[in-house]
Amino acid sequence: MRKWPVACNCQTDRPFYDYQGMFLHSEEHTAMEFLSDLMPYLLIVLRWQNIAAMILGVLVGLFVGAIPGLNPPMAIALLIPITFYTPPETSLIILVSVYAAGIYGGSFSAILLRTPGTSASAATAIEGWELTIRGRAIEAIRISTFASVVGGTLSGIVLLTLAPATAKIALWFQPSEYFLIALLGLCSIASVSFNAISKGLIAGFFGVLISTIGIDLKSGFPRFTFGFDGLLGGIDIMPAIIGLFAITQAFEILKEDVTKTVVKEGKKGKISWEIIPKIDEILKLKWVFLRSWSIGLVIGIIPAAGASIAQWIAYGEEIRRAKPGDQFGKGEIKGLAACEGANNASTGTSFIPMFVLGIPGGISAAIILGALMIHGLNPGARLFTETPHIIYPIMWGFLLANLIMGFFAVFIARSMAYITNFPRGILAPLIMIFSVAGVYTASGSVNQVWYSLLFGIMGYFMNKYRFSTAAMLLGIVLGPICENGFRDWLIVSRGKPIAYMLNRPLSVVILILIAFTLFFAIRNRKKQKTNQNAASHTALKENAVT
Amino acid sequence: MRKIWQDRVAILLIILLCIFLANYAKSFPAGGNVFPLFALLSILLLSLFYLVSTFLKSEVAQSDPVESITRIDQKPMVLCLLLTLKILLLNTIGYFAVTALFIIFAPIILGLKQYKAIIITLIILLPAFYVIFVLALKTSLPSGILM
Repeated sequence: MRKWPVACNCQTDRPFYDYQGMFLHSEEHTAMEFLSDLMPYLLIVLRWQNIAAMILGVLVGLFVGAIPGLNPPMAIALLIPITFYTPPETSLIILVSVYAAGIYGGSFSAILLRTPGTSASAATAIEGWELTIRGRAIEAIRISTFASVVGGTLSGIVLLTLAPATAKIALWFQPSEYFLIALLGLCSIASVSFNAISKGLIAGFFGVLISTIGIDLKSGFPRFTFGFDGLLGGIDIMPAIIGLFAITQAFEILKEDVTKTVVKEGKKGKISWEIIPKIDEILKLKWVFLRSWSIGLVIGIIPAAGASIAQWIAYGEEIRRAKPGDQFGKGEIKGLAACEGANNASTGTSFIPMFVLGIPGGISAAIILGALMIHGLNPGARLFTETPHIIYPIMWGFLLANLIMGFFAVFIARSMAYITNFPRGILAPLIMIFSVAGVYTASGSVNQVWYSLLFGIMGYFMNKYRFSTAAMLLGIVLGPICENGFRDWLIVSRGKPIAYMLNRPLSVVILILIAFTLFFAIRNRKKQKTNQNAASHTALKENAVT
Repeated sequence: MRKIWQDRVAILLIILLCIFLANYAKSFPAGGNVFPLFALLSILLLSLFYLVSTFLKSEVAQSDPVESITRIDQKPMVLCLLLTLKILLLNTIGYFAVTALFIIFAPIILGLKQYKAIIITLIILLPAFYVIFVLALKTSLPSGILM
């Protein structure tokens, strides 16, 4: 019979774990026995307090994720004091629900306003916005909803059933792998920037450089502050997201007639109720969904990688597989499905290293880890053996929250879609108002609002010169991971960094992935140019004939 | 200036900026300079590669033409100035007062004459902001001298 490496209620007089903390089990369980062990915890989740907690968390998460400038980590941090008055499992259910719904909620503003609500929706903004201006906003939202709900649910299932077993993957990663995975993220985004690949990489590395501004935590020395005290704390991610996407987009919106809406094609006015995707839509995209969910599930387990990287790798993979007729960069639904599937699929698995090893998978996970400890729960193997009546309901709650968010998405998405009916002359100032409020709320500092304006101006000129703002943002997000990995790699390699890296199979695999990503990006770019030249040559011939 | 030369000038400026920052970063002590120098070196090499490619394969740049930098978009510039003014007055007048002025005057200055839409937006937005940010999230937005 198959052994199932999770905790259960079985009585045993043998040690539950070996000296390495690996899960052992003295009795063999079938899958059915394992599932029946989990059922009592589902009943705990179905108590009215916990259902109310899930609904509250989902609504807050959707709302916070959708508004540019607000973000799930902020909402989670603000809700922690409220959770002091509730039992631990109810408190943590609220927080994990906010996280799950927040990642999905970020797609609303990404699709409707080209303004990602979170950094995990930056890739969604590219295809989503193009679909909106072609009058296909509702189609984009329903595909995004399906990809996110199913991806998040799968992530919850993996979390619930495989947490201890899959946590081992997180331990495989050493400093060189962290450095390389950050580089892989940058290469993925450079390959999807629809301009010269080298320009995408330049923007990405500039973002990495911006992330070094402020006091270096290892040496204590200020870097690139030029004597300005306001820069000692560095540049937060929020002004960069708001500036490079929201404010830049507000400038772009005003390039055309201010009395018109942003929708250039298709039906304007009444928004349809067709939020639930049709079977044939799902079947057409089935392989895209499966690939993106798989990528998200795996990337989520890597500590600190998270949804930001998962979405770009999934998006890059779809571009690599692009067929003639695909419209990546001009409203390709496959691209949108890939981004949204991956980012939500990474949410649940990002809790695995946190619950099992105490290593948070991202900012939200780090705050939830803090909440866990405030309630007297310490991450690690004991969480599953001594408090299964708390940890398993939390994981069930996360899974069910993903289903609940699909239900509420129908109403919220349709309401939000009316934003596309606003004339540009009101939409652009509205985006600015939300941006200022969001940055000020997140940081409490007018300096950060100024930085967001500077990023907005920078983004405007970057667009003029065809440098990717998304690549710069990802560089800022990945910069700390990249730098810590780089510096630690130089230390542990003891003067032989290349030999150290090449001796690690995982590093070699990631290096090969980087090489493949760049190779296919260059090859696809050449194919695109050949097709464009052929098309313009044909058009010239036809004009000459007529 | 032809667009391809605008692109080349931009890349040259990036190269000069990299050299300046690398010179500055050399002085960071205790290993704090290693990673910034790595990033700057990467940018420098990529910029040189792109610059050379624009000469070797002119279609590289021409197939990806930059927008004319000399063509100034007026409305984005106006919005940028209005936003600058808003941020400057944030702590003086207060968030809600300056937001109300911004909602009213920004669309009008940008050329939108749909006054009904502006008023409706104002009536819905300010109370919504108050409920979300002050009551629900309990954040302290600047109150200024008017509150």
